[in-house]
Amino acid sequence: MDLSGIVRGVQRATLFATAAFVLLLFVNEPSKPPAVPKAGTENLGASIFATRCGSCHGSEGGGGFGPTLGGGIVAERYPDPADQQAVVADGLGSMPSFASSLTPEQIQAVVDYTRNDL
Amino acid sequence: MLVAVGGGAAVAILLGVYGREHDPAGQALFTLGFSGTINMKAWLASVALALGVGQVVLALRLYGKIGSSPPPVWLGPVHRLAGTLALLVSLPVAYHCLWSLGFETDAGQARRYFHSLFGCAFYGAFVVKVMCVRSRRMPGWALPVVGGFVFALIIGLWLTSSLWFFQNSGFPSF
Repeated sequence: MDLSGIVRGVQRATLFATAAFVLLLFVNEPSKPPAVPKAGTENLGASIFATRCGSCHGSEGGGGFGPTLGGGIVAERYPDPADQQAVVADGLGSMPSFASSLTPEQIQAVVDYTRNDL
Repeated sequence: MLVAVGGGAAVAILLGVYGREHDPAGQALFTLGFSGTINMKAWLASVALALGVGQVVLALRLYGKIGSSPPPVWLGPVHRLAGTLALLVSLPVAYHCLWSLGFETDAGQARRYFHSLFGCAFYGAFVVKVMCVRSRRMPGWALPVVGGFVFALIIGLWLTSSLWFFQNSGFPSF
């Protein structure tokens, strides 16, 4: 295949990818996370982490789209747990706010979990 | 020219409206072997920037601004290939931005705000550039000007995303 043929092939592939891009914007509905466990649930922090945080920070807190939290890293970054709770409540950068979807007790539980059990 | 600019503006506005109105998924995507979606995005954006730099250099050669001999015949196809590949590698990045994060409307979040604006403008400007390339009725200055605008937007996008990422997560952060 000559160079012009390669260019045409890549252009066709890009056209296809652009069409898929537009289509997926509308048909790829985000999966809804499971309901937040109620206060008093055993391992409340772990349950909330699994349902609300793991998709970005990794199921074991090893990072992904969001930064690594496990291994004591988050406690090093936020020596005061209140600062970390504020981040969860208010959001930071690409991280959304959870103030409207988690109660202060739930936020405290998931923060404690990331600091002590990940 | 007006038709091209109108088409590009429509694309940019539609992307912005989607990003603003669509409920952000807040979810990661595939990683293409990188350690995370954001790492993949930072690197794909860097590849797009590199291809953009290559396109500008090749364009300068095509226009006789670099070198004194006539440009080789393969230069035009390679120039088009670089531009097409830049668009191709940008698509997963833009998809995640629009689908998962949405359009930042708070000007106080300057980096995200300008990144959102640059991102929508980039695809609009790209449409204008393609229409300039395809049309025989464009003024001679149109293509270099629009091409320069597209390149400036790539730089703006990279500075407000990949550079920020590498500064915060370290380099190379695969």
